[in-house]
Formats: sequence, structure tokens, C-alpha cells
Amino acid sequence: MKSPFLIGSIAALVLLSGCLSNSSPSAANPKGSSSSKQSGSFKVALLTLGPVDDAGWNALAYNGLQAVKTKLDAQVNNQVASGTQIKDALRSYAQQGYNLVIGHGYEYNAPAFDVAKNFPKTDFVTSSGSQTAPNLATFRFYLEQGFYLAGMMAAEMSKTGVIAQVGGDKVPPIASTFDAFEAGAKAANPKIKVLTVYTGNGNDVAAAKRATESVIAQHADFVIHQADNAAQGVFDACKEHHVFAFGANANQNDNQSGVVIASAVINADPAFVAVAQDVKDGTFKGSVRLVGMDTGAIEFDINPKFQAQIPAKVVASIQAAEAAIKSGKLVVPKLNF
Amino acid sequence: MSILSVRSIIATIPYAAPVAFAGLGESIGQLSGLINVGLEGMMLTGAYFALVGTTLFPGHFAVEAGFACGTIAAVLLAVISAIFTVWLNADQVVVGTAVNLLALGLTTTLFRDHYGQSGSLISLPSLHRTFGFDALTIAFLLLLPMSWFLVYRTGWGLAIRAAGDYPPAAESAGFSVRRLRTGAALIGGFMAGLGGAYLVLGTTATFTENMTAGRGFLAIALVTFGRWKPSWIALAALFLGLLDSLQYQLQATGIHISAYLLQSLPYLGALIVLSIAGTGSFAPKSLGIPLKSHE
Amino acid sequence: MISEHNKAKALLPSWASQLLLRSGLYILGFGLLLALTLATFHLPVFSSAELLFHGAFGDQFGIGRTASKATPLLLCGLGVIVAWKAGMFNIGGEGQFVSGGLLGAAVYPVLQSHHISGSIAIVCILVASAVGGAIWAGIAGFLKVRRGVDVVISTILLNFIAFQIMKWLVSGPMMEKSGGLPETPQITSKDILWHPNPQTDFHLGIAIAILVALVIWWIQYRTRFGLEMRVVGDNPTAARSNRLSSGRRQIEAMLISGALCGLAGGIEYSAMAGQIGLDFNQNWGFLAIPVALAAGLQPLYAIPSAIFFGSLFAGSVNLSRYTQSGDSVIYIIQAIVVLGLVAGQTWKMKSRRTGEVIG
Repeated sequence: MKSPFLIGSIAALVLLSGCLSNSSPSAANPKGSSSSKQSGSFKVALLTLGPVDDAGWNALAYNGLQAVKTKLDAQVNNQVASGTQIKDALRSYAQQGYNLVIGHGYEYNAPAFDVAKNFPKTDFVTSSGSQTAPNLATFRFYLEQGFYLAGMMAAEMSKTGVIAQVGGDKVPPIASTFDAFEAGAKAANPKIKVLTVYTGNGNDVAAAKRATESVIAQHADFVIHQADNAAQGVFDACKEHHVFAFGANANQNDNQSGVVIASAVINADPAFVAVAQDVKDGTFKGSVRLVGMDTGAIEFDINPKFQAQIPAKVVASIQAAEAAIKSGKLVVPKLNF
Repeated sequence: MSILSVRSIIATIPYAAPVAFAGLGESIGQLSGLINVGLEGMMLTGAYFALVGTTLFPGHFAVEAGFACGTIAAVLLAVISAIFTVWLNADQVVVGTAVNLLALGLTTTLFRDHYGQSGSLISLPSLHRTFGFDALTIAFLLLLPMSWFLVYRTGWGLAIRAAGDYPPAAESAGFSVRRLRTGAALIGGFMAGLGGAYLVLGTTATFTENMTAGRGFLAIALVTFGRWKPSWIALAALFLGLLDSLQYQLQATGIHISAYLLQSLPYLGALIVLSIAGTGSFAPKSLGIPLKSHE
Repeated sequence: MISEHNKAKALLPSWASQLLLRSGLYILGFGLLLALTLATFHLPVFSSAELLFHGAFGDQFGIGRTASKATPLLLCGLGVIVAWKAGMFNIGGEGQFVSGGLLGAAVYPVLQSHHISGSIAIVCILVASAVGGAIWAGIAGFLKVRRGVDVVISTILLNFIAFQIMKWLVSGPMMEKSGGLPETPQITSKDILWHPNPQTDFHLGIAIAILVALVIWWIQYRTRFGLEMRVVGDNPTAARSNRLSSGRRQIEAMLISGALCGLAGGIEYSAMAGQIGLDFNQNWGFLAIPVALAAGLQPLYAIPSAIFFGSLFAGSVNLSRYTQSGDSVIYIIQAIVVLGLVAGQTWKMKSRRTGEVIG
């Protein structure tokens, strides 16, 4: 380089960022780079729309992948891919000989349908979505069942007669769970008022908190969320205004806010392990796998800390509804997408 | 609840404050002739290092440590920015863009390395609030008349404004325009860091990747919206906060207006106000122009 | 480096040797920078660099990945160049990208209802998207010239307005009818911009973008119109004394700039995405600013610059599979590259005016 100044400034900047980075020693180490050398073993890849540290939708898929790794001794890898990166990501995993590629979100379904026909040796699975092929299956996590029970609980316990739901983007998977929450609430108390608010951004915590405060100002005393990364904003608002919240996707009962009375949980581990086992055994079928409470993939976990505050009558009616859902007597409404 | 009740206005303050802090600092920078496109990055840096400060020094002064770390980090970024824009005559938009990229890359990388594996949402201690006010929003209310006085009633303020309008005039009055602009840039960085740290420790008590979500850019718009007057900027921030709150209330009452369109209102409003009023007579005349052009 | 330069000079026309020298120097510098940054964040330098390189050039997928990322970077970078050269600091490339893609997607159903398909449909989509981008940038140009509204501020606002309008359109008026997903209808496979191999992301867009770069260079440096646009940006006073209508040239520069960014959006829509969803904006308009700067605001240098940054982003996809922060580190590298270039330019100018003390 011809400019000492240039080199100096670059060095200074790099050193600066180095100092910042060294503030704690637990830095990134390439994970799996050594194991990627093994070939011929069973390989499973996961694609998520956002980083897997969201303690929610993406994190549960990552946990599912880890379960596949330990239970089936698979070699696993994961990547964030959204928008136009999706097809490329699906293809390059298939090209590298992965046996199973899981795309965690409805956004992966159409691209996977396109890619799957050219890679018959790889099986694809997407979470949500309706298109299937011999080597493309979809999971349909029946989270609506959990939301239905949450709606019942909220409606039976609400003192104000108003409950609310706060979402990020208004997309079908979110809208569908919100419909189920409302249906459950109306089933328990036809007069209940359900407020629905979307922030339009799953990362904006402040917006989620603001939206939650606005529904609380309209007398909501139970709030459920589908706010992804921004969920903490919902919980904080509930904590400040002393109302109850529900966790969603992951079990968020022990959130530090201490307001999560119950969680509607997706337990992806058994579903992921089961599909990976099918791939390994060569029994994979390209079908829609509707996984709900009957298989343990969906749970409604009441926070034990609040047991004293929940009337026995409410617990009983939820248990009855849960049994009805499991036996197929009660079919919770869901959107198809 | 009515939108204009005292309660709803007070409830809006914590949401308006981050943008107001950053906007106030940015107005002083702009008056001196610096437009800081990197404001978003400085806020994000302030937010991330507020998280770092709070987790590094748990205990009684965690929140204070968070604010200290957040503002220091943002000021460091402002120092880099000022070296380039003020002392090397680099283009301000270019440097601002780089600052945004640097902040986004740095905070995301560091956050994933240090906090990503925690597996649960982050919950931080936050500012103590009485009747909707906390120490910082009260300090901000005091800061408003002070900054107005500083900018419009002191010799330094006059010099700052001269540096932004016609730098040779400030030079001939015996001021160093570079020093004036550096000072303004550091104030801007400090306030942006404060805004970002407040977003973490005052508004939400948590951190997520890229959580500023465009608030820095909104603050830049607010400065023009508020015509470079501290109190107008604060009012404009409050007004946008109320609009946001109205937006959520409309949604909750089931009025089917697209949330997305409603969320574009602040930006559309700012654009309409700007285009009706024009900026010619109010804007600092040398805004965005490197000093060497005057030499 | 110098001897290489001389050798190149003997064989090639001077602009080509300049190009080679410049890109050679940059690649060397960037390689150093990359190594330093990777090391700073405790990533193993050589294996990371290998992953990056393999992701960008390792196989046909990698090359397709690089080309498909270089395309929007080059077109938006050219948009930045045209506007900035005319003194219009258009940082609204992202909004223009989005509005271009949207207008292209809006035209598609109309084409389908008139049974227009194939290459004519593609041309119509691309023209519509250029118009869409031009309209969006034109608003900022008009507001600047007629109302004195700062372009930086108005384009920031217009970006956010465009994003919200896009989200509204794809979840409402333009939403596909069948599944209720917030996306526009998928383009049928015969209307997709040509891919030599449908299994890779390599598509005609990169050729279009390079051709456009040549055209922009020709307009800027070989026509009176281009000269006037540059003069207006370089020296407004000289422009006025030559009775140039600076306002008009500035609006025209914004229109061209917007058309280029809009075209990028149209190509992304018709070649890559096939539909517009909530995540259509992937920051290309924003990331193209460093591309333009690294090229010294020269349209021809923008080609290697876009390919270089495109390969960086393509490679980072591969890197992100093995480290959590593989993709975000690239932003840091971009930022440091820009600041380094700015500092380098200042140093160059300072050394030209020897003895002059700044400050």
C-alpha cells in the first residue's frame, strides 16, 4: 500500500475493535469445522430465518437439531438464510451431500419445492407450508392447540374481561395462532374482548413494549405474544403494570420478569428426531406431518410458581380441554398456509 | 383512554426519549455544519455497551455503569467520526455510512460471541421510575432550556452557529471551526450514546440485535422537523411517540388500517412538513460541507 | 507492484492498466485487512479465508452466488456514483430498489392477463422497475431543487416510507390469492430472467449490470450531458457561471440514479426472488455505498469493486455456517475499508499540496 496513513488508521481501528472484543474471553470458535472433514456419515442441516439465540422460534429448532446430533450421532450444521439466500442455501447443503435439510419457517416451502426435484438424494423438510414432493415433507406444528388453551385460561381468569395478543409481523403462522387464542377465549367466555396488535417488527423490543402498554391501557389483564426476539418487551410491560403474560414457542415460564403464568410450547426435539430417523432408515415420506399435543410436540405448561393463584376450576377445565384435544374430540381451528 | 390525556403523554415519554436525546445532540452537530448519518450506529453502540456495562458491573450501580459504558463507546465512535469529517475533511455521508456498518457489525458480532449462547431472553435492571418520570427524563427536561441557552444565548453557541452557516466568519472572530465542530460532534456522540443506553436501560430493560430499528435515522429527520430548536425537537419526538401510541390503540380497537401504513406516518409526516416549509431559510448553510471547501 | 504496472502499461491501454493496478492494490490491501479482522475476532485466519474463498469461487454455485450478489451491488453502486457525482447525496438506494421491484411486480399480472410472456415480459418488468426507482428518487430530487429539502434527509425518510408501503402492498393489495401468505404471486419459470444453469444463481443480470456500467461511463465521460452533471456536483459556481441549469441536471441525475437502483430491484425480483415478500429488501442499496466509494466514484472501477464485495458477501455465507458471527464480521470489514479509503484519499491530497498544513 502506498499510504502509511492508511495502514496506520486501519491498524488503529482493528486494534480498537480488538480491545473491545477482548472484554471477555469467550470468543467464537468455529463449531464443527473439524467434524466437517468426516464424510459418508449421516448429515443434517438446519436453516433459520434469524439467529438461533432468540430463545423462541429459532432457538427451538436449533435445540431440535442438537437432539438429532446426539440421538442419531448425526453430523449437523446450521445457517441463517432468508429471502433470496434460501434457494442457494438449500442447494449448497444438498450439493455437499447432506441427507436431510430442514428449513424452519413457511418461507422455505416454495423454494424447497423447487430445489427438491433436482436433488433426489437429499430429503427436505420445512416447518409449515403446504407443498410436498417425494423428498419434501412439511411439519405443521399445531401450536394453535397451545394458544387455544391459553385463550381459555386468560378468559376464565381475566377480571377486566379484556385480554390481548401482541405480534411482530402479521404473517399467517402468527395470525393463525392468534385466531386460536381468540377461539379458546370465546369458548370459555363468549363475552370476552380480545385485542390484537402487530408491531410489524420482530426485533424492535421498544415497539413490542409500547404495543403491550397500549393494550394494557385498554384494560387487558392477560397478554400473549408472538413477538420473536422482541418478547422481552411484552414481558417487561406486563411486569410494570402487574398483569399476566403467556410465553410462546419456547417455555418462557422462568423469564426473569416473573409474569409468565404459562407457556404454549413447541417441543421440536421428538419431531426432528423422528423425521431424521425416517431419513436414516430410508422410510421418509413426503407428506404433511401435523404434530400436535397427542405426540407431545405441543405442550401447554402452567408455571408452577403461580399454582396458588390459579383456581382449581380453571386448571380442571384446561385439563379437560387438553384431554379432548389429545383424543381428537376437540379440534382447534387453524389456518392452512 | 384519550390520546391527549396527561397519563398517556407521560406514558409516551420513555419511548420518545431515546430519539429526543439523539435528536438534541444531532441538532447541535448540524448547527455546527455536521450531518451525522452514523447516528443510528452510535445509538446502537450506546445500546450494546450499556448492556456490556450493566453485565460487567452487576450490583448497586449496574445501571449507572451501563450508561457510562454506553456513552463512552458512542463518544469513541464520535471521535473516529470527527477525526475523519472534521480533521481530514472527509465527506460526512461517507463516514456516517461507515460508522453505521461498523456499529452494526461490531455489536452483532460481539453480542453473538458473548451473549448468544445464554439461551434465554436478556432481562436487565432498569432506571427507577416515579410517576412515569426517571432521573434521565427529568435531566432531559432541564437540558432543554440549558441547550437552548447554550446555543442561542452564549458566545460559544453563536460561534457554533457561525461554523455551520459561514465558517470564515467564525474563524475571523477568533474561533477554530475545527475545534467547534469537534466539540459539537462529541456532544452529538454523547447524546446518541445516552439515547441508545436509555433504550436499553430506560425504555426496555433488554437488548436485541439491531434493536435501534431506525431510531437514529428518525432522529436526523426530527432535527429538521423541529427546525434545530431543542424544545421543538423534543416536542416533535413526543408527537411522533403519541402518533405511534395512537396507531396501536387504533389497531386494538379493530380498525382495519394496515399497521404498516400507519407506521409510515411519522416519516411521511416529516417529509410533508419539510416539503411544505422548505428548509432553505432555517438550515445551517454549510451543513454537510467539509471545511476545505471554504479555504 | 510498480514493475507489474509498467509491464501492464506496455500491453494494455492506460485505462485498463489503471484498472488492473487499482484492483490489484485493493485486493492486496483488503486481504491484509481481512486477515487482521478475522484474527481480531479470534477466527482462524487461514481456514476462515479458505471458507470465504470457497463460498465465493469454489464451485459453480459459489461463482453464481458471487455474481448474483455483485449484480445489485454494481447497479446500486452505479446509482450512488451518478447521484453523488452531481452533488446529490442519494442514500435512498434501498428505497428505490424496493419501489423498483414493486412496480416490476405490479406490472407482471397485467402482462399475464394480456398473455405476454418470455423475453418481452422480462423487458417490460425491468423497464417498469427502472421507472419505479426513478420516480422514488425523483421525489427527493424535486424536493431538493424546488423546496431546498436536503437529499440525505429526504432519502432517509423515503427509504422508510418505501419499506412500509412494500409491507402493506405484499400483505394486502398485491398479495397472492391462494395461500394467504404475505407475498406477491410467483413468476412462472418461463418469465424468469435467463439462468444458463437453472441450478445455480448465475443469471443474465450480471451481464446487464456490466453493460450498464459501460453505458454510464460513456455518458459521464463522453457526453456533454454527463460532463454537465459532473460539473454541477464538482463546482456549482462554475456551473452557474456557464449558465448550466444545475437544478435540472441534479434532478436528472437523481432520476438516473433511481432508475439504476430500481433496475437492481427489478432484476432481484425477476431473476432471484421471483416474488416480493416481507424480506425483499436485503440492504443492497445501503451496502452499495461502500462499493461506489471503493471504486472512487468511477463507473468502470465499480465493476471489480462490486465483484469483490459480492464475493465477500458470497463467501461470508459459507463462513457463517461455521461461526455464529461469520456474516456480521463482513460489515466491519466494509466499514474499515471505507474509512481506510477515505484516509488514503486525504493523505494523497495532502501529499500533493506539500507544505500545506491542515487545521
